[in-house]
Amino acid sequence: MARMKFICDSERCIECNSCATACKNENEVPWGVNRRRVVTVNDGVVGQEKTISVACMHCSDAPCMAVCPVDCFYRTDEGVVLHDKDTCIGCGYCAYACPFGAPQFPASGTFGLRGKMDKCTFCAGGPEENGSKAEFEKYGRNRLAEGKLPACAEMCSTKALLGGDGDVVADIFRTRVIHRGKGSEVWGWGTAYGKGQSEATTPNGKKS
Amino acid sequence: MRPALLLAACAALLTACGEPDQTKTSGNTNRADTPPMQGTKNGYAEAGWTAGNQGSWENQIRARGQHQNEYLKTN
Repeated sequence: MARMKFICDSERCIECNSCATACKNENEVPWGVNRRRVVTVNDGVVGQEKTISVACMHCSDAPCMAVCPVDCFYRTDEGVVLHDKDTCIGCGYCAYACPFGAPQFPASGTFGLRGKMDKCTFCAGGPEENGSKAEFEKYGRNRLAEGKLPACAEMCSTKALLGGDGDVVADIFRTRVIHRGKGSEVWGWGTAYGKGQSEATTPNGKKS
Repeated sequence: MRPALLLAACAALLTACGEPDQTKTSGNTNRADTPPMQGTKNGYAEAGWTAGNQGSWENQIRARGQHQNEYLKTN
């Protein structure tokens, strides 16, 4: 089996934040911790605005694993990067090392004491027994052990966010790109409102 | 008797000069995490696959992944 991977299609993401909401709900993520976020670049610039959903990318060569002084990270056979909160000391090195800002630290106490690191688990829980209460309280749901995929990807309304077996996800994305083409065929006036009579017969081929 | 006692004292003293074993094993790390293909007993597992069977779990995950492929639904 290939590794578990996420991919977010920036042409489809409509910034609805349902992935972040699904994640929060499914894993009962506390306030101040966002395992998944929706990021928009070129906000408001017509034709250049792009939105993607970002969480832990479960890197094959994860920098968080490399810098962790207590070695609390581990990688499963499915390629999911997980960590042990019993070992984590909340130092924050992983947050500096991660290029995606995936590691999150719940602030608690009067002085904003930094707690144990929390991040996306690909809905695969943690070291505790699969589906146990202890696992849920520390890491959230273990949907992989239930034969399901991450809630964020399964809840995505436009299927911009795909998650699962890397081969399957890549095939889906490839099929999509082949079918839809790129540039002005993907979005724009013609796509939204239909082409005029003359345009319909003679495509202008302009790219966005 | 005396040499034996001396040897025992030396062994006890040298023990303090040693260091604990830091070898990574499944006992002192988290690498022994139960793989998801072993399933769960929380009652929310999807039907149609056999817990503990790697192939069955992989097929389930692949089939589930194809639910994200709308081209299989609409075209």
